[in-house]
Amino acid sequence: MSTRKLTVFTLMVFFAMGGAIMGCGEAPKQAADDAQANTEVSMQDVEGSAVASRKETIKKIFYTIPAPVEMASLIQSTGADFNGDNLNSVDNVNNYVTRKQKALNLGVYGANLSYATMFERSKESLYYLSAVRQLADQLGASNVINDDLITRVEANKENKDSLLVIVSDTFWSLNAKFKEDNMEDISALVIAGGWIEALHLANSHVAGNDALRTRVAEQKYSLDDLISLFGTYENQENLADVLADLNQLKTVFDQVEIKKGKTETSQDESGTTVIGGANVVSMSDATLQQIINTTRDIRSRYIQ
Amino acid sequence: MKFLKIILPLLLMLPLASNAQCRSFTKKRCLPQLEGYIQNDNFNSAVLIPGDEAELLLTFYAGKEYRLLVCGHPVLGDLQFEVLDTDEQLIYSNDGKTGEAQSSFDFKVASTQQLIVRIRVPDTDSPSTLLHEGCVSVMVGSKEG
Repeated sequence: MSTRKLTVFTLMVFFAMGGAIMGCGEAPKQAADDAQANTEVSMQDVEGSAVASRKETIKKIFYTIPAPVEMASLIQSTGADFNGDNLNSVDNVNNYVTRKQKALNLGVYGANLSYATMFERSKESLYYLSAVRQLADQLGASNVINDDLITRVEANKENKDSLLVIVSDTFWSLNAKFKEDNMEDISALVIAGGWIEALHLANSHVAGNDALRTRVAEQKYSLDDLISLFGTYENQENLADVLADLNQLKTVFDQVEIKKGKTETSQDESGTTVIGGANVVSMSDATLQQIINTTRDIRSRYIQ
Repeated sequence: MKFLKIILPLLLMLPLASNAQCRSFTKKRCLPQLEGYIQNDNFNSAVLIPGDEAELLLTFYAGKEYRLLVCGHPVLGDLQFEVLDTDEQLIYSNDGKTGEAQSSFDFKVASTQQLIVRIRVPDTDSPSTLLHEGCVSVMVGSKEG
């Protein structure tokens, strides 16, 4: 290996380390973003095992769990009415002491915020945003929910669509912030707390609502995704208990029946692809009741 | 060579941990492409290199309209992505097999689906030993159908 190539490698390690170290804040200019977002590396002499390991790592990065705002939208679209009794009281926010409690309840309050916003309850939305801000600050993400964002929310409090965009962008930024600060465990806990709370909210509206019942049964897919996400963080003590809870819930969701069908595609009058067919998901009343009970038990422990 | 055996695997892994590089890029270059949709909260970004492949299994709910966006830094060239059902039947490809090359796929879902999204960063044609790396973000936006 020539001195030139070694120099390139050394420079690249320096560059990459610098990028990682400097990445705690946003680059102020587009040019800086572009400089950060692309560098050069030499791939000559790459070891096969390193490439295989890289592929595994890439697999671990790309996971998608439905956001609480999606579940809130599903709940509303089935004709359900807002019920504030189902939410975690903002008065509980000072009860959360450990980082794990704060992260789980950041997710819980995020789901409550999405739910209140979806149902255009602006007063409740502001309360829950305040709770979210407090927990986010305590977890080291104080620059995400700042005074500017609060001002934007207050200015748009009567505009549901704008508020939903702000809420989803805020939780996207929180997720990114935790990941870039090497707090993937916190990010995973926020996602889990939000998912459990969103399921709890759906469960609370499910009686007599066949459409929502189907959506609840379909959470079997999301639960599998969530468990896979947690499975990528081995030996994380913070996550072990929550993973056990998710696996407990999985034993119930395993009773959900999925009849496999064939996917069909067509185009509507505007030329947009429409995907239909595929699987039919159903569950018995007993399974639904077990899902409701197990979710409630887990959620009660998280918010106490 | 011993130095290289140690440093190269580290070098290969390090970009994947550099989320910081991607957040600003994604926020400024990718998020605006989801205008009109509510994006999910997931930050799905990584620094990839030519030849890298990634695969995701995503759930899409009945009655919704979605935009699936695969957004990469221009230095990586045109990213290839496919959408398949769980039997690996091709539903969409941005390489022209099912339509024009695009970075996003808009669709409606009539019944809840689990779909596979497969992304590939094209290999470089450059004879140089230097390969570019760049940010790749996968984003999903939804709205009422």
